[in-house]
Amino acid sequence: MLFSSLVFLFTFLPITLLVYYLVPRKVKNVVLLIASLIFYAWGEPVYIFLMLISILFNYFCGMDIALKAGRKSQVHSLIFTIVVNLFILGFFKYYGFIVTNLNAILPFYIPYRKLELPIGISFYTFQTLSYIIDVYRGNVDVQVNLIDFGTYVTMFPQLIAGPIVQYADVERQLRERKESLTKFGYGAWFFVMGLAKKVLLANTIGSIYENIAAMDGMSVVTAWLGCLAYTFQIYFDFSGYSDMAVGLGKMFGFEFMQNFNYPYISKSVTEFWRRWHISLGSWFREYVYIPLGGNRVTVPRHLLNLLIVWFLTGLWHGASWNFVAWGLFYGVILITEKYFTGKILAKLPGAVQTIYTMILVMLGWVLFFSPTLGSALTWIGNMFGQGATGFMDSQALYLIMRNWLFWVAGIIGSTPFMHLLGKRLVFDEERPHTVLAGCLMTGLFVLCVAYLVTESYNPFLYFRF
Amino acid sequence: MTKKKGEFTVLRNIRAGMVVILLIYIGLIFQSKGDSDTPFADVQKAVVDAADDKNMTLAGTQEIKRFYGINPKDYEDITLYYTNETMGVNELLLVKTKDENEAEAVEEAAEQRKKTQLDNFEGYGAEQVKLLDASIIKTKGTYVLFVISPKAETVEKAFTKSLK
Amino acid sequence: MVERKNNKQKNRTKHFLPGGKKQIQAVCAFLFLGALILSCGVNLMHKDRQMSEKEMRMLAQKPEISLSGIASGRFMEQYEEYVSDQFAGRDTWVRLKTFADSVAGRTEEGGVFKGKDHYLMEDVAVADENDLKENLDAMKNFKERYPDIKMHMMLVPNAANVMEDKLPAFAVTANQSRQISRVKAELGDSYDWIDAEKVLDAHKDEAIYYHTDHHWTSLGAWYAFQGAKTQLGLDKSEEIKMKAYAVSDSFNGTLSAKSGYETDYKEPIYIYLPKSADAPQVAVNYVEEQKKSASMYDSSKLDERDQYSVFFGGNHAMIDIQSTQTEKRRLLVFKDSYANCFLPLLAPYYREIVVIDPRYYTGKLSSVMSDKQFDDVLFLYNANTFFEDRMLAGVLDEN
Repeated sequence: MLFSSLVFLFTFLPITLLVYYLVPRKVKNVVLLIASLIFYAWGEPVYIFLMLISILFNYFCGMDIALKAGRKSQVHSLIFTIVVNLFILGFFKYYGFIVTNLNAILPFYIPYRKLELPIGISFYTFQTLSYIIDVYRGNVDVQVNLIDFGTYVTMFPQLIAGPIVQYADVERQLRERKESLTKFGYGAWFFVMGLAKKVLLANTIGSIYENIAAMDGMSVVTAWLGCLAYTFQIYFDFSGYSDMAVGLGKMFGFEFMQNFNYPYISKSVTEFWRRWHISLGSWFREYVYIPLGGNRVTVPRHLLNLLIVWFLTGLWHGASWNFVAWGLFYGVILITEKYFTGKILAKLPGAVQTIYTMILVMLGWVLFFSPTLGSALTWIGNMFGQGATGFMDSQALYLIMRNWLFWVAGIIGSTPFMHLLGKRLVFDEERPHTVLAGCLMTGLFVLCVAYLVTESYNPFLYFRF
Repeated sequence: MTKKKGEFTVLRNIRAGMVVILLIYIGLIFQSKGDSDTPFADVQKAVVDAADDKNMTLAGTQEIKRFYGINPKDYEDITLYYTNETMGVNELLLVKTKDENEAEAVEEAAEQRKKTQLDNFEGYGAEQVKLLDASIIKTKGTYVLFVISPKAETVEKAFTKSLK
Repeated sequence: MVERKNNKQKNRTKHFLPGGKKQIQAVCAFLFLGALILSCGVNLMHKDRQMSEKEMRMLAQKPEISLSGIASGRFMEQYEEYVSDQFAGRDTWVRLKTFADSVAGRTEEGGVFKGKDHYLMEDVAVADENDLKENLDAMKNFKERYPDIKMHMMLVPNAANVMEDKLPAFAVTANQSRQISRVKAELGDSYDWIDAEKVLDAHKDEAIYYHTDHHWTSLGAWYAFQGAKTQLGLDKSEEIKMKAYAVSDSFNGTLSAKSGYETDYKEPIYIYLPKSADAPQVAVNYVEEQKKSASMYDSSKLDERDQYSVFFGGNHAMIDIQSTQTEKRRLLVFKDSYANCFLPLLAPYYREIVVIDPRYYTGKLSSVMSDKQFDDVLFLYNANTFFEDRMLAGVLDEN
């Protein structure tokens, strides 16, 4: 199920909220768990059993590791658990990729049958791994309540597309959280803003990208427009969904971390990755980078650590070489910024720094959205005049003029401008403009419903994960 | 001490058991995607009976090429029934490919046929469009089924059952 | 006992949002809950509709629950479609969305341009090279099999081509004229090319295309017919004078349904009838339906959504039109729906016209050819449909 669907908004959510608030505290997690299982099963009627197996397995492993505290066998248990988790992820997500590549180099042919990717497997597997490792490290108490553990793994606000919630952050909230009217309202506001980002901006700008991507030849400007459209689409899509997740969490008394912090105003790529998909960056830092030694090692080893982390980050996004290239692309740039260009950059004017960052980010997206490395290079070539049908043509002009409001909204929405404006005008501590806020939220919600009722195009880009 | 050891053993068994369940689950999923040794004629009979449509004509090589753009010679077995009702869209295609990886090409041909028919009847034949939208394309191993029919669900069930 | 590190929780859950006033938050809570409850309630009371007049399609109904449907995920897909199709006030929501899009500057919806003077125009289709080649090769082979029959091709341009100036600002379409010229060159001498483009261009300021439908008007067909008479060999016969009569003034076509634009625009439909009572009488045989009619028009369609179907009741696989014309001319027509308002102009000049629509025809063409002795064959298509066609070659090539 998607948050941006009529079934979710007007059937699933009302019923779940109603039941949740009616039952006593002790039963609330049960309600959340059951609702989340239905939510997941709606999209994955067969793979839900895989998730249940993963939950049970990790539940028992958690207990096992906790019991073995202080013993040598604890490490064995940890390794066993991690291996099985990675096996699940690797098998369902990477098996085809691995076999295809092996078949290309091996003298014999390994047969394989393609399986569909279970939705959200990358997210919930990383969450169970976070739990297991935190139990091993002694950062958290083992969760002996299966319901609570299940709720942690499956909570529908963040099940399908994050943010990746580390167990330590949510441990206390599973047991003690307080719902309140104002918290709920805050959550509703977040949710509607996220929904608007997804439905009114991401989906609409996304169709511009789709149009351009389907073209046979394009001018330089068109190539940039297509890349820009995707840049906007993926940000509003993903951050919109994360906003909805945070908002829904609040409606049920949970406080989740924000996953995005206006990444497109970053002044360096290093800064970009502190503002984009924050929960993923944190996860990799916590569970891969730091265990590898982080930056407290020799320089060559540090470079290796960075490349490993970025190789894996790219690979996490998809079982395809263009994602690996995307990850390594960033790995190399980050290394460059850290060791060479960082200091020079900081001395340049702010606007230049942002332009530098955004150009690299946009080139990165070309790697990300292209089905093959070859087509990525072709597109990038087009952006710089190679193989393009001229600099600017009437098609490009049409795309700009006929979608002017979306381009403008995209630019404004990528900056904290609206946030600051809202803070000044609407959320003023002295004189809050309640009516204005109410109208804004209602208006956006109504508009979103109109777009949802009519649309056939409602993709979610981060769904391959 | 012994209490803990007991717990360890229990947990070890449970964990091993879970891995076994996982492997069985994977095996079941794999198996459900595959076909069995059922002869083509039996599968054909099962789906044709389920479709229960007296107004269908058995197509020849010409019609298969014409409607789907595929050559019957490329496949191990292929049967196509199409409607002889005026302006009807009911259709039943059953293909057995020589290799599982060829099934995708057949699925694409079926998708294209569905799209062509949708274009032909769009804005004009509401009932036909509804049937086309409800059509089912299902692959099991080397077998591909494409059915446009009010009884599409029943046909799909019979197809799956015959290939257990 | 396990030690606990309780550090990260506080830092990570910091939020980057305004410290909202409690008042606003409370109001938001009420509004949100209110919206959910209201929608739930209204939708529960809303009765399911079978069909949408505005969108010209059937609406999804409540799907049946079945184990295989759930296991395959089909039930969920169908249920989501059902909720979307049967959402209360659907037509109003569509309007709101179209309005929002136009405010944002969009003038294209579902491949339909919202042009000047209330004209809706379909985007120009670009042919798939392989499909086009197959069709053209099939046409050439067909001519070779029947060298004694005169074969004509009339490819009618679409509104977006002829009335380019009415396209919305900045709109860009593919070049249809160039594609049409290519077809003419490809067919070469084997086909007599009837140039409809020139004729329609000359009258482009008149009402030769519908505002809300992708078809040409009867007036457009009339001009094209005048231009085609000589090549069809009809100029030697006695002219049958015709007059245009309006049969409807409330037509709203498929482009409106497809795009959601101009849903309130109503326009007339004209039909041409012979002035003289001595003109040849016409009878129509709908071959596959086994139905006969004394008229080429089905006035019952004027009460339905798609009024253009007044011509022959819409599309059919095969029609046989016979008249009391004394000259023994027989014509075979391969067509799409553009020909529907063109045929009544031809009908009185021929003894018999057999009309085949390759999209629906599944019969044997060779037996039709051997049954009747045709003098002429006419291929009559509008460019967009012809360039998207995938059925013609299959019908012509049958052995």
